[in-house]
Amino acid sequence: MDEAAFATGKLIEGIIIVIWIALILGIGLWSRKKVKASGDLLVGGRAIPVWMLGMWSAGASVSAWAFFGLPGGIYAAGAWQHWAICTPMIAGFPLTVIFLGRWMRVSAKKYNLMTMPDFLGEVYGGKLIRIFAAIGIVIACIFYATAQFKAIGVLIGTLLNIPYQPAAALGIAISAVYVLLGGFIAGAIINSLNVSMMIIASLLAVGLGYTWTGGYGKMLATISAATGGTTWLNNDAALGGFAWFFWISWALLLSSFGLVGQPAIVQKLYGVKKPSTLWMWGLLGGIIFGVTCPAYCYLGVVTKYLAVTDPTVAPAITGLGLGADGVIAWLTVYKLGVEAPILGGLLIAGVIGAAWSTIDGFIMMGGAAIVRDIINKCFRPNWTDKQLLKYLRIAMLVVGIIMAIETLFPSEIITWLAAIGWAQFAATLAPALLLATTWRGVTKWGGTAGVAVGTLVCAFLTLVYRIPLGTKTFITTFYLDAGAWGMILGFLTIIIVSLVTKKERGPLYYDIHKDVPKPQ
Amino acid sequence: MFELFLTNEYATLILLDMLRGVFGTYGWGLPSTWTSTWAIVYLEEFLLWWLFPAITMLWWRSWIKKHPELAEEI
Repeated sequence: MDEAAFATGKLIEGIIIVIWIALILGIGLWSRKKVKASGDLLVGGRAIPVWMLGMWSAGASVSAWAFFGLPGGIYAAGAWQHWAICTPMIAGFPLTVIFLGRWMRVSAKKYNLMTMPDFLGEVYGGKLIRIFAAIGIVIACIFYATAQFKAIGVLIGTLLNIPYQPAAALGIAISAVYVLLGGFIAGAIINSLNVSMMIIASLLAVGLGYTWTGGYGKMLATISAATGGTTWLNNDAALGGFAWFFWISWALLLSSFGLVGQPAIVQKLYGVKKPSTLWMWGLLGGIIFGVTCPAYCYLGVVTKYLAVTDPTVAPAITGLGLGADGVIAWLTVYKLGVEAPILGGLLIAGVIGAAWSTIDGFIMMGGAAIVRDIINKCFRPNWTDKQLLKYLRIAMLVVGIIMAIETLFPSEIITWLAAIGWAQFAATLAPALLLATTWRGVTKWGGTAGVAVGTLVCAFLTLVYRIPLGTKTFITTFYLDAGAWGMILGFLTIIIVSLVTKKERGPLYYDIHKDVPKPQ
Repeated sequence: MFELFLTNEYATLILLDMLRGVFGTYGWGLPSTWTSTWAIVYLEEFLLWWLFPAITMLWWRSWIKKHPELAEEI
């Protein structure tokens, strides 16, 4: 490697990232004056243009998982992950608008809705459903957020030659600063920029891959001819014959309908200015996701091609000591750092932007789950808005600090950390949210039991059964079915318990199902 | 032509391949011999998957225009 060119390339990439960070912090500082109430902090006063929120939600769904973890997972375990996990997620955005979005938005002012447990609490009634939902959100946040800051830590650490922990903490701190200062308003503006960067980076990635490989067919044929290439391309070999179950659990349940239960993505709907423009959120979310996610998956396949055609590539990636997570770090910092540093800098900015677009949502959501959903709504209903705003900021700071502490623990590869988080959100929230607007038979105890079962089944299968298998076994038998079982059993529990329990419901239920008479 | 179109649509193809596993006849994997360019694969992803948000959301837009009262705050 040309050391001088590498040093210059790293400097150029570093300058691009520092300018990017300064811009983000500047916007956070500028928007702090606009936050005067808890509603400004959490939902931007419900006056944010829909296109901004569509972009932010798309960025939150792509996250570092698709831009960093998935290319690594594809490189390590097979190209099938692209088509089975990433692509079906495009459908999740319109499904959310059709089944849930309108009711979330048109009832937001009347019931002062700001979080997903808020919506569940008002439809089903009672405090327990809020508490179970908040617990599921906190568990999911831990896995999902770990994946995000791991990506930031690996990239900034590799770029600046600093250890992973301080690099990840720096990434979280930047996100925490702009969230605490400008909340939802800062997030909406910053993530419009982040997602624009993601789109540019994705288009560049596709062009780049083409010039390196000479076309998709040639690339796949070359990989197939290499040792172990056939197994890598064959999803059934990778999944031990259970690929069909994987497709059903992920593509049909978790990726598409499961998106309805992702608070970091769906909670943004509360901030939309005009409810009639929700279609734009579904359209932008689906299309931006569809442009960006496959492009970075493609980079995972391209790296595999480079590894089978150049014997120095695989040892160089392994030499970073990051396992499969080293793929994008090697590609952007080491390969592009020498060959095209400006392009490398833009790709890194795209990945970091994607991670931020999710981390900021988690900091807001984690703080709101503890302070608003549990303490304020269940135990301290008499707080003034000023008190709520103060405690929300404190809780968000605490969540940011907890995330920074999490970086001290070794984490496994990003793709499955994020996938576990996604599955936990889906299992906890999606069944109760989908049935709330589509089935008038739901009851308070049905909803509460469904959220509890979804949360517990997914957490139990993941923590007790799946994780002890270890990364290697986990990847080779990558069913990730814990969330699918949680979702299926969550649906069944709501239906069965609702059929046999007293017809008690929350006030929003009677707004949604107008044909059901309200009890006197 | 249509079958060529379908065989380039990898997400659908992999679904079919994976569903074959239900009957124990799974496993052709990614069709490396059915050569295509990334641009065509990408374009077909666009047509078959991105059309879903485009069609459903344009339908939703026309539906809400016909029922503006449904988009009012309750």
